[in-house]
Amino acid sequence: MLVVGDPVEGATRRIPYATCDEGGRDAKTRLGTLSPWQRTLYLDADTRVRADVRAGFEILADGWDVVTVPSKCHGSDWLWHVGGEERAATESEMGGRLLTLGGGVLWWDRNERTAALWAAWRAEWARWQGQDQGALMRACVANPCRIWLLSRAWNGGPCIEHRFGAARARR
Amino acid sequence: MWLQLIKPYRIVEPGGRPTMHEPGEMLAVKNKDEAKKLIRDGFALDVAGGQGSTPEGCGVAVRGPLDRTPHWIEALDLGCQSVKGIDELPYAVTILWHPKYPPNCLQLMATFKTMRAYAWDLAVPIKSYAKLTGDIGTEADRAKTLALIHDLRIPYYNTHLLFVKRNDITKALVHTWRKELSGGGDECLAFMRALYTIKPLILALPVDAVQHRAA
Repeated sequence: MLVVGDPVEGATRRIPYATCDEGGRDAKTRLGTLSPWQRTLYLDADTRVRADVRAGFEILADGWDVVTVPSKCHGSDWLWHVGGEERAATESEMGGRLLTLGGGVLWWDRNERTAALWAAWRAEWARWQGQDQGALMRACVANPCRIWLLSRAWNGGPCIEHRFGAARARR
Repeated sequence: MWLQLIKPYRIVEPGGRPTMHEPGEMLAVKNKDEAKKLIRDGFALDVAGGQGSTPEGCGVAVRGPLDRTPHWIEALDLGCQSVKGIDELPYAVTILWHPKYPPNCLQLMATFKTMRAYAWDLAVPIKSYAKLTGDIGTEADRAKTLALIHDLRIPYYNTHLLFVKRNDITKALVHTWRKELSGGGDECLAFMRALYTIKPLILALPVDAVQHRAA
């Protein structure tokens, strides 16, 4: 297990990272280059793993680039937590309210498609430097990858619990 | 002006008789102020206005017989033909559409443009955020699917509306899908197995890319 930033008990590797923003998204959106592994599972600090996560790695090994979970923010809740200006720009640039993915649980394989995705995610996040989900959506749409979707059980459900915002609240 | 309803809407006909119109229905609204009010109040979408022209080479392949061209296809000025099989892709970007459910026209135009602008092979709406792959089909069908895709706690796709770019990957996909279906079983599970086998660049669309109510 790799941790970026503050020390965490149980981590086998650590990359020191001066925190630049409250949500740690400056570090998060650099993970495409920070991760030392061919296949990585990223987990937000406020997640708790309750099931065997090898399924995601097996799917990557079968040839998928990214394994992740659709966001629960759709319909009238679409990107509700993202700033109004960014939300409006995202809808305008996409031509509509396309599907948003949750960036808090993400398996990925290192290859040229995911390298482009990570670089775009970083660049899109840098435009507003707020939440990362709108940036992930814009980056995903413009950088096609082989994405296999899991259900909410894997991000905010029985397999991977997500205590949204709890890590920040304890700081 | 063509509008697509996204909420039920009651119209009083000239004879004074009220008629209820359902989400997904197309309305030809001549009065601009009335059209603007319907849009502003969240009852309808302007399917063509503000969306620019329909991207070239896009059309609808209707699965099964078609008595008349649906209003939404006319309003968007899309090509349309009836096809017998899921492996017929008559356009550069084909909407393979089962005429049971009308699409959300705004999502449709956004998806067409995304497909033309980027290298996505296909785009398909998720069927449900709650009902999962493990909740459909027979036990045998699910077991066959699980053996391939590792976990059934995943969303499955709405095969009533597929945006398919015509290329070797999608030809392989629809061929594999047809092969998976040849033994019977659930169409959506067969699609999931074909998808997992071929691994196209698939853009997942939100559930509301398809109107929820049957036409």
